[in-house]
Amino acid sequence: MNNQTEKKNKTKWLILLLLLITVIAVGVTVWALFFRSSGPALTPDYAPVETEGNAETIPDDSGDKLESPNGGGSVSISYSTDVSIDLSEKTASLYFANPGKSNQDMVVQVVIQDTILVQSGTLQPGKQVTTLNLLDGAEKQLSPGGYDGKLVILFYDETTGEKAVVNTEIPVTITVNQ
Amino acid sequence: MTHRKKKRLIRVGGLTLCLSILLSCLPIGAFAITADGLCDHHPEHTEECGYVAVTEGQPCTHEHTDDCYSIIQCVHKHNEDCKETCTHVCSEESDCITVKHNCHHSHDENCGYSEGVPASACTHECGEECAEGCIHEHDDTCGYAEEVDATPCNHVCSIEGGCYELVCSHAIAGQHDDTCGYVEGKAGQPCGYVCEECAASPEIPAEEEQPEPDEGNLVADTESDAEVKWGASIDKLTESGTLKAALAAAKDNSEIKYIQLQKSFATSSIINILGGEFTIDLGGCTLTGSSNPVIYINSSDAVVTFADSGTGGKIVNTTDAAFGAVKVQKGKAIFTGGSYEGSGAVYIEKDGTVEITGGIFTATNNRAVRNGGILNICGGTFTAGSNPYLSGVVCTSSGSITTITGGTYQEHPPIADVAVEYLTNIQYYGGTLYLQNYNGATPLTDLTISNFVNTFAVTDNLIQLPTGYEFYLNDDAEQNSVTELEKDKTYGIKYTGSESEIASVSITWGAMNFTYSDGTWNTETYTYDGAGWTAEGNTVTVENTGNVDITASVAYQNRSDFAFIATWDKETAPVPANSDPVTFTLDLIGKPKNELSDEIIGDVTVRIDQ
Repeated sequence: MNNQTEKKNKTKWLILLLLLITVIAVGVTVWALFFRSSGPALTPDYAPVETEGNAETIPDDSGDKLESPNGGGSVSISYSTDVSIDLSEKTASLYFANPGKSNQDMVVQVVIQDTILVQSGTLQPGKQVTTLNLLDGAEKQLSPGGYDGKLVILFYDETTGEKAVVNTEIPVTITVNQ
Repeated sequence: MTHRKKKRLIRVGGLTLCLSILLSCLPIGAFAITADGLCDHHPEHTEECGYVAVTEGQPCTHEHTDDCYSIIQCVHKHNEDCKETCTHVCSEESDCITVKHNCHHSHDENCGYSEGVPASACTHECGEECAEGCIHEHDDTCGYAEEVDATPCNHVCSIEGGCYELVCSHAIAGQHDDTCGYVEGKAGQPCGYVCEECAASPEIPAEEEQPEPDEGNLVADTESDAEVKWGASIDKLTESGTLKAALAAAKDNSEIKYIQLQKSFATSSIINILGGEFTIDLGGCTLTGSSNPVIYINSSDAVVTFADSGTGGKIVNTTDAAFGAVKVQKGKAIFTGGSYEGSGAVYIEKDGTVEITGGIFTATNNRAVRNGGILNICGGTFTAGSNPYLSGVVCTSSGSITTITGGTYQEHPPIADVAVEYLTNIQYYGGTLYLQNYNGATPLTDLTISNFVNTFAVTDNLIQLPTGYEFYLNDDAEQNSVTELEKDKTYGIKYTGSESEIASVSITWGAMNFTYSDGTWNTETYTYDGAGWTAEGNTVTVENTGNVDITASVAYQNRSDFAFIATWDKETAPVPANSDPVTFTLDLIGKPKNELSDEIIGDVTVRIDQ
């Protein structure tokens, strides 16, 4: 009688253990499929819905629009070619402005060796940034040192959000600090 | 085997099988990362990972023939004669084959050409002197010239002579085909996939990781017969033997205060110092190490003075490693003389203290002295390495305290005397001090300047901040810039970017609409009229609206393999400040492979260089 009870208890524990293992395995699978960080960032074909959180209004910006050819676009950009990345803060310090006279929204990317490390939200005309956040995991790809990189500036229609066929690349010097 | 045992075995076996099946689902597998970024979690390169294998280019083997210099455009019109079978063959005679003649020959002495000169009449009019007959002889003034016959040019136009324009589609439009063997070379791209499990990352050059030195040995073996003498003082060197024996004696016996090298020797392993208060006198000898570092002080009880009672005593690290000749992990090192050489010369960790009153510290690639602890310099000669990203005569890092009251600093321009790596506290007492933020660290803070004699201006270059950085008083919440520093006040350093050049550019582009047409069949000429591309708004204009000279370049990239190519009227142009805008015009050549209907066929990239 005692033996039978003991056996039953053992079977119960065995089933519980197997259930626990199954739950863990399912959990890991769900994490791997849905929550694991994905690969490098892709360039958006439409302007991000969210505007850049670090964007500031350009002081004393005239806002007089440039003349834009029919069906084309017209932008003005101001920038510095020095970019500094702070790995501990996960931020990039730079100067980039989309003056009010532009007719396009912009997204700026900081790229090293074709890897996008920083991608801003939408910068509307009249906005500038001096700080941008690194993309998730970008800090793992960098070590302190100096890099030749580039700013890639993508232009988007203010109304439709559609990406323009013209974009701009600006070579920059990037210094990465711990 | 009993029944119970059998049952237990079956259970264990079943459980093991179950675990094996479940664990095989986990995304761990083998953590094998190949050199090209592949691992179990990223077994194949994808579009997202950006990997592109290097493709070696192959030259086009197409050789121009006579056909490459001629255009075949049949002008024959079928008539009654060729109703049944047309016998027309295109030829130059029938004007179906036209050759673009583009002879650049200039007549020279070899071709024999000379222009003919028409005769001109003499303007002499007979007067009295010619009464008995004209005595005039033609001269320069009478204008008479005999007719000179022209001689023809004997130059014969040929393809080899470059007299015919190449109209080959291979050369003009780059329309390589399956037979010409052309393969465009492609630069490889590293795999951009970051595998969190394997911690693999794209190949971005990283600062060299330095291995921790071996701390296991009390005293590592040097060359077995390396000879030193040791004792209570330089005058009482009572013992002799190996450096290993001397260091062991000095650690255990506080009476041992002096170790003097007797000859130059080399070591391939780290010389650990784990205690004792003594002097290592180089005695004009050279200790050469191929370990990293050569001497490693790793005890808070250790106080080691490095001196050289002779001439030219040295500790040299022959490796490229950063820890250099002497690394102070814990304890204290005092340098009064001798030379210390390596990729870096002296490396101080946060629990280490170094005082330098003399000596020569030479880095070949790295920092002469890298301070992560406490560093006091009142003498010595320091030479920075040549690596612009690692150098600095003295480099100070987070939490370190550096006091500089003297010393001679020799830099590899434009490396600064002191590279301030992170948050750093520098006690500055005088002398010329140049600060360079290490790798552009921003912002630099907590520069405490005390005890200097005079108030001085930053513009005197006594303290030279990196470009774009300015001082402000730490107490000033608004961080107003200050140009004159006062005694016993603490300053922060802020990045203003004001000295960085800000460029401003306007870019305007047209609709960039391109329409391809096969043309209309002309029944009279039996040709297609109007075949090709028509463009609307096919220009990009770049205007420099700032004060920095720039160069603009344009490039077109097809979004798919449409089998036509783009040509620009120019691909790059300087756009100096205050100059007129520069316009680039894009045209397309060639017939698209597929039918297109209101599609975005490509992108234009405008590159702005300074």
